[in-house]
Amino acid sequence: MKCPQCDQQLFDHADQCPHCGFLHAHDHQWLIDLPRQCSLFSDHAGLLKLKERQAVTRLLMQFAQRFPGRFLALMTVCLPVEANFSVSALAIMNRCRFEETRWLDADAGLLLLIDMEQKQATLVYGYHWEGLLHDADVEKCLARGCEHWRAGRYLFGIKATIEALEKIIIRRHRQQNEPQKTSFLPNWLRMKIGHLSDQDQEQRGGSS
Amino acid sequence: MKLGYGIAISVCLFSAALGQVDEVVAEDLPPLPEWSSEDMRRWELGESLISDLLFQSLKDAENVAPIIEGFSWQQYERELAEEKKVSQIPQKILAQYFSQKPTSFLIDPQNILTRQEYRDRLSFLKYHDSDSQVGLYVYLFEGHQKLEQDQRAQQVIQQHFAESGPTAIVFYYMEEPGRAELCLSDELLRSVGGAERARALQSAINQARVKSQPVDQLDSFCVQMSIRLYWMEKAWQAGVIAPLEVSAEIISPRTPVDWRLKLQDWWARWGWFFVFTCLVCATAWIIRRRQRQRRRYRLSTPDVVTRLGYPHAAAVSKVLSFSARRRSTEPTTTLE
Repeated sequence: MKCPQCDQQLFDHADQCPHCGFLHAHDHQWLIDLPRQCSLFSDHAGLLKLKERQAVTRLLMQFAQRFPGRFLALMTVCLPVEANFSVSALAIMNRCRFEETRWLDADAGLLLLIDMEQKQATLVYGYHWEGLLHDADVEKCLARGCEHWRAGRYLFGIKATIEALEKIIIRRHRQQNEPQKTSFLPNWLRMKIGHLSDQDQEQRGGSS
Repeated sequence: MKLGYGIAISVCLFSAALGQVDEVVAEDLPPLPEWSSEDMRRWELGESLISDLLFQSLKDAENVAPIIEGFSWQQYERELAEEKKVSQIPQKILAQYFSQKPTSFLIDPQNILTRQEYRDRLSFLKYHDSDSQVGLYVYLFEGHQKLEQDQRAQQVIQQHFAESGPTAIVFYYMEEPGRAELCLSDELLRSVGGAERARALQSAINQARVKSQPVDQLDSFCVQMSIRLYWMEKAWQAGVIAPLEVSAEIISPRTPVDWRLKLQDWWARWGWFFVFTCLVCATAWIIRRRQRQRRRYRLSTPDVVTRLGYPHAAAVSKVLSFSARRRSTEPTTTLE
C-alpha cells in the first residue's frame, strides 16, 4: 500500500504515513461543495448526455446485481489544480453515501473517479476489495478506458473499464472458489506455473 | 502409179468400214426427229424456230416425270432441320449403347453409317484388334447429339471394361470430330498419362479434319488412333509409368470458374447443414451469454482493518492521465 499524498510505500496497518505524516483528518474545501449523498453515477463534470448517463447507470446496476453485496460507483468531477487527486478520491469515497446502495457497507464499494480538469482517472477500492484487486489489475482496467477517453469517447471508455474490471473480478472469484484444474500436478510444478493458491502454500509451509 | 492405186483401194475399204460402224450405232440410238410438212409451213411463216424442236423432248420428259403425292422439298428440308435440332438421344437408343458390354468394336445402334460403311470401318477395327492387345471400341453419335454427364466414357470403362485388359473407348460424333472423347483403361492410363492421351486424341482429330467427308473423317480418325494406341501399348508392355502431372496442371493457365454456379451447387448440397449449424451455434452462444449475464458471483468478505483514519477505503490505484497534449516538464524560458 502507498501513501496517497507522497506515494511512498506504507505498512499495511499504518495509521499515519511515516514519510509525510499524512492522516485523513479533515475534508478539504473543494470537497465540501460535493454532496454527501449522491447517486452511483454522478456526472458533476457534465461529461455525458442523458441517454449515455442512463446507459452508464444501467451498467453500474448490472455490476451490483452480478456481484451481490458489492457495488461500483462512478463520479466525474472538475477538481482544482492544487488538489491532490489521490487524496481527493479517497476522501470522496470515504465521505459519500450512495443512494442506490444505502443498505450496503461502503467498504464493499469501488469508486471510479474521473477528473476532467486535469484529465486523469483513478479507482478507489474499499477494504473488502483489497484481497481481490491489485494495483496492476486496476491499472490495466483504467488503461483500457484511457484509450477511449483520450479520443473523447467517454461512454465507450467507461464501458471498456467496467468490462475489464468485471473480467478481472470473475477471474479472481474463479481462482478462489473453483477447484484447481492443475491439482493433479505436483506442488513444485504448480508453483512454477503460478497455480498454487495461498492456502496450499500455507499448508505446504506448515507441514514442512 | 502403183502407190496411187493402193491409196484409192485403202480409202474405199476405210469408208466402207465407217459405214458399217454408223449402221451399228444408229441401231442403238433413238431415231432423229423428222420435219413434217406442218413444221415446214410454220417455220416459213415465222411461228416456230428450229430450236423449239430440240427442247420438245425435254418438255415431254418433265411432264412424264413421276411425282410423289404429298411430297415437297421444303417440308423435307424442314424435317431434316428439326431432326438436327433434337440433341438428346432417346432413352431406348441409349440403352442399346450403354446397357451392356458391346459385342462389336463399332457401336452404331442409330444406323448412322450405311451397311457398307459400317462393314468397312468394322473390318479395320477388327484388324486392329487382331494386331494389338488394346481393344479400340468406337461409339458413334450424330454430330448434334449430346450425352448426359453420367454417360461419360470413363464410366463406360468402369462398368463394362474393368476386367477386359487394356481398352480404349472413343465417343465419336459424326461430322464433329473435334468433339470426340477418348478414355483409356486404368492400366493404360497409368502407363501413358493423361497428357499423352490428350495428345493422341488431338492427333486423331487433326487427321480427321483433313478429310471433308464424314465417313472419311471417321476412317482417318480410327487409323490415327490405332497408330497412337500401338505406341501406348508398347509403353504399357515396357512397364513405363507416366510421371505425375501436378506440375503441368499448375503451369497451365487456370480455366475460368463460374463461382456463382459452384456456390449454387454447394448451397444445394450443404445449405441446410450450414444453416442448421449456424442456428445451433447462435442459440448456444445466446444461451451461454444469458447464463453468464445472469450468473452471480458472491465474493467473500475479508476482515476489515481501517488505516490512515479512513473508515471505508484506504487504497487507491495509480492515477492515469488521458490528456491528449503532453505537458512539458521543463520550465519555459522567454527571451526578453
